[in-house]
Amino acid sequence: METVDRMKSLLEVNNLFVQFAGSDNKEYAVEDVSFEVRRGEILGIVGESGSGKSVTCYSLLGLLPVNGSHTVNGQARFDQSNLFGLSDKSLREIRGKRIGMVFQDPMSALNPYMSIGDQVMEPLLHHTQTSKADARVRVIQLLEEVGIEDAAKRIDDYPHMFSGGMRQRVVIAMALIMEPELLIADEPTSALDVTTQAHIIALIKDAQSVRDLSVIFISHDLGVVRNIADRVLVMEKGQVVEQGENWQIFDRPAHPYTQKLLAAIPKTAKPNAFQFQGANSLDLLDVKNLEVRYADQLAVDDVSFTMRRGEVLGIVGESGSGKSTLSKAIVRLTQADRGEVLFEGVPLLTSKGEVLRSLRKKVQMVFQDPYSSLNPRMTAFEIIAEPIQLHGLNTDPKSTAKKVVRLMGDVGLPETALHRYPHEFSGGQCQRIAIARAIAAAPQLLIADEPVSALDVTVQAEILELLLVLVKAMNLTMIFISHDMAVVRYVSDRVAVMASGRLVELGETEQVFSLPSHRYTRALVDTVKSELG
Amino acid sequence: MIRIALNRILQGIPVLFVVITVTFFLIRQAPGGPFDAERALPPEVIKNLEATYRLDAPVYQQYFDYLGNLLKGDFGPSFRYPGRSVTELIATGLPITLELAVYALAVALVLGLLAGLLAATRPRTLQDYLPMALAMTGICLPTFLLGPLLVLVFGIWFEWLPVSGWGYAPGDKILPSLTLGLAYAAVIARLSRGGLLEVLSQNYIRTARAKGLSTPTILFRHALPGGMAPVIAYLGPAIAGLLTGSFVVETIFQIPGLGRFYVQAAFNRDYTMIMGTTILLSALIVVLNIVADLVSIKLNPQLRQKHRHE
Amino acid sequence: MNNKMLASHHPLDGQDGEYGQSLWSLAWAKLRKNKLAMFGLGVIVFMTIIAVLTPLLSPYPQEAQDLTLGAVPPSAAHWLGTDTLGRDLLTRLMYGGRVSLLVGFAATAVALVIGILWGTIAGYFGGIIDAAMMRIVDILYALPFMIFVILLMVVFERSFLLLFLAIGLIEWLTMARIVRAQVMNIRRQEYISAAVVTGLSRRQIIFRHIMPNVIGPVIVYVTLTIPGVMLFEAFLSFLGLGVQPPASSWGVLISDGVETMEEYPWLLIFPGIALSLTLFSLNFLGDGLRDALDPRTTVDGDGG
Repeated sequence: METVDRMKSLLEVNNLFVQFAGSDNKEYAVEDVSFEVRRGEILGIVGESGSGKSVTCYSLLGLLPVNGSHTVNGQARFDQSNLFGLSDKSLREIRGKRIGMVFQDPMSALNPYMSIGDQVMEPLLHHTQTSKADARVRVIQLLEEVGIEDAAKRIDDYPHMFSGGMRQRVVIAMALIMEPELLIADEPTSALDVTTQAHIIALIKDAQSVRDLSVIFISHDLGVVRNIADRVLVMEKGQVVEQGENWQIFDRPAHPYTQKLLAAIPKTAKPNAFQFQGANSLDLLDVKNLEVRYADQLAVDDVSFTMRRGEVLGIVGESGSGKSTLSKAIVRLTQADRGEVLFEGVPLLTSKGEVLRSLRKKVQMVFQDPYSSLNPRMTAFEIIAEPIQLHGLNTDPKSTAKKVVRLMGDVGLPETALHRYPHEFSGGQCQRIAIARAIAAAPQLLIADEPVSALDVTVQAEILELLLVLVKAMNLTMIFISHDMAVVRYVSDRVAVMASGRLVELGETEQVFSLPSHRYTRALVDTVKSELG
Repeated sequence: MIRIALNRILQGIPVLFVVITVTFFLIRQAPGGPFDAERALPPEVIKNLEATYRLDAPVYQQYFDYLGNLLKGDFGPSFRYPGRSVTELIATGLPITLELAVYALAVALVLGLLAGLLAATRPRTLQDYLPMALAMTGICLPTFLLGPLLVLVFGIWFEWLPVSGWGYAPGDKILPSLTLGLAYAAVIARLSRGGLLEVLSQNYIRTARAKGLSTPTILFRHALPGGMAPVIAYLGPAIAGLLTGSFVVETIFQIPGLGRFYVQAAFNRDYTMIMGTTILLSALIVVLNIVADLVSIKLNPQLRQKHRHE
Repeated sequence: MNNKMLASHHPLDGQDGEYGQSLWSLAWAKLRKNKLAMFGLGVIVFMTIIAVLTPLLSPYPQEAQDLTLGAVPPSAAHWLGTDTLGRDLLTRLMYGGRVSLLVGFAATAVALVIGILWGTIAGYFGGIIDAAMMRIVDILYALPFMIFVILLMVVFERSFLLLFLAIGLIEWLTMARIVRAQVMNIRRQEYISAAVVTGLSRRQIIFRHIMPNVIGPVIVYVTLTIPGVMLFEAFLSFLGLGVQPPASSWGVLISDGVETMEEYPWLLIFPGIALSLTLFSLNFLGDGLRDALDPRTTVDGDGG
């Protein structure tokens, strides 16, 4: 019976500890992790950033950074061999030959100085005696299989000539060329657009079933993992908090952290959505035929919409759809080439001097990258006080200070953090400071450009909550831009969908979500629905 | 590639033109004529001399004459070596200077890359610290100090190598080439180490490791092309530096190259000679810069494509 | 492996004290741990003080000579010996150092002023202005400036002013490029967009948000430019094209020392040490500053 068991489990990890030198406290990056991967199954590993999910897999293959000193303890058995007991040479025989890897960022995972063909065939030439001509034939065949069209022509092209999704296909081909038994995919879809994501997941699933591969699928995205994994491992702060079959984890989560993770996914529409009255006199913002041209392409193509006071308008679209450019054009961070923007009837795009300054006070923005949106040389206090001082809301320093303290409280930051610098805050905390800055001058319109996409899922939930509370309390009108349909659905009263610069659909959230009319919107909605199961 | 080359050459022509023009008019601004320093010559002799060298014509006339002659490869007569043309003088000096520069470049590349490679493969170990300490020394020991020190040690104390000349005695090319090349070896060592370490931390190196490739394969096939980018970009300035550096080295080792002519011409106010050498060296530097530029484009697929679309 | 993945802890947790550490104080803490850089800083400060106070400190008057003495090796009366004209070498070294350091600092200052203005304007405005300004820099870059400076020194009366200007005019090009790259990088940061949206004027944005963040790389480059300039001055002086007698610099002293190095090696060695030590110190300091100002490294050692 024992032989059968061993046949079943391909990889077995017991009591794995990983520690990086340099951290003063004896904190483990990976602490007492044990799991197994059975033949032919897909094991999902989920966790937020810093949970140790990637470190675990890299440590098994000796892929942790060479220069950074680290210690790895524990047992890991792959098939018959003890991974930690192997010589460097024998480990290399397993790595790349019997275990393939796919990485997160396809943009940087390929060598820019080598053609994709050379890179894909490299393991074949290195591990076997295949001739270059034979290898070429095999590579073309495999590239076709992973969906590179015209592979025979494109085999000598360099990575920068491919899109992100195509590069990821190349990386997958590279991982599969030795017909490995185990494929480790580290966040393979996180850097990709939703629709591309779906293709890559389908590709990995196909490859798995055709080859009877075992797969370790690492992701922070619960929806994706739910979609693909047979069994799931949940990690938090270097430890495995829960593992089990897909349905157990997602339908009957036992551990509080798993429950928290699942609860953080926005599943519902915005409660008590905004009631639209017919009267147009209440219009706050009126965008007419806006057009932005980059080089010879239309980044924003004839976009028009109006917003009513107090509503939240979500704008969704993939990267390059023009949603960010649209918001930048509205606040004049990017010059519009044509069209008009009226704010309370005042033309925003052509105003100057005092008029513009008073408009600036009324229209504020929150950005995507919480670190880059705060000046690293200013304290939280200085950052939040700047708009107050600029717009002369408070003339004496004392009341300014008081106001800043109150704002810190409003966004949920302790007063003690007032004189700290951005690098001393976490990403979520930085985003709170950015929000405090945006509401400091009591604006009427808030534009949030992907405000939660750089954050972990639990932090994301908190920030969304904060935004919704503020919108209500301050009677704000908000444009909320995101690539994530579920998030947009959660916060918006109405949704606008953008694709290649055009506004292809605009309607009340539930209507768009349940009856998407545009082809692209349907694709977006489908991915979200399938992930929610 | 040919189009890029042509493009670069077209850009180089105005630069050369500026060099020639500025040099020409700058020289005219110099206090005193070329014959002032001579023992008080009678005015009519000076007049004769000026007529011979066409210095009595209007300045613009002289300028166009000079340009015309340049196109024919004629740098005019030397003021100081009567009867010899600047072109002749340059023809004797240039090959020597070029030979010196080539040897020095070889020293710089071989030693520099070796040190950089050693250091980058084992960072923060003795194998890193030692070559880098040497490199720092090389950067902080100027040629005109290093040269005499090498002469003192190997030429005078140990008497291993000749201390002057070029091609007169066996081994007399060693010290000048080392003197000129070591400083650049130091810079190249630092640049290649930095470039390699930067590349070795890239994600695609991790990909290469995940393929099970051996360390030398990763280093030479994957890391070297990207890691060498800073070194290749430095080649242009390095060559310019080598050519100007030859002034000092040729002076120290009494090598009859272009640099030594230049320095002597500077002291003798031999204006045609100064102009000739300035223009020639500038042209060389401009051309070699273009070559270095083309090499770096050739080696980087991304740049290659960018230029194709320009 | 990206660092973000490993750094999960919320930095606010378990910290005490109400005032945070600014990037400057962090950089200073890192620099203080770098022994070589601190040694360099010490030497530079020491050299500068000596140079400023030379008229008070020098053991002999600048022009004092004792022809009967000739060249003598170091002794109690002349710590570093005397030269062939019987002048005290230490005195000459101190006065020469004044010139060398002055040229180094002044020419770098010239480069700094032009480079920062040029680079900031090009980087901030971008577009056609940037293209035109950087095109000029590119063309000037292609000119063999070293040879031009030599030409200038040959043709004109050699004065300090000409020397500063000539060297400064070469070095500003690189400075402009560095500043521009940095400004463009910062312009892309979202806090600049945030400042625009807040309603700050262009001037406020440049001075409050851009300048303070450009300073870091500029300081590093300045520290590494000074030794380059000093080297170039010494190079010119060595060829006899730099500082003219009666003034002298370390380059002049080395040039003199080479002539007599077989008989009186100390005349070469001491000026050589003075120059090299200064160059070493500036380079160590520059390297140290680069590491200290690099956000990827930590106080404890090397990061990323």
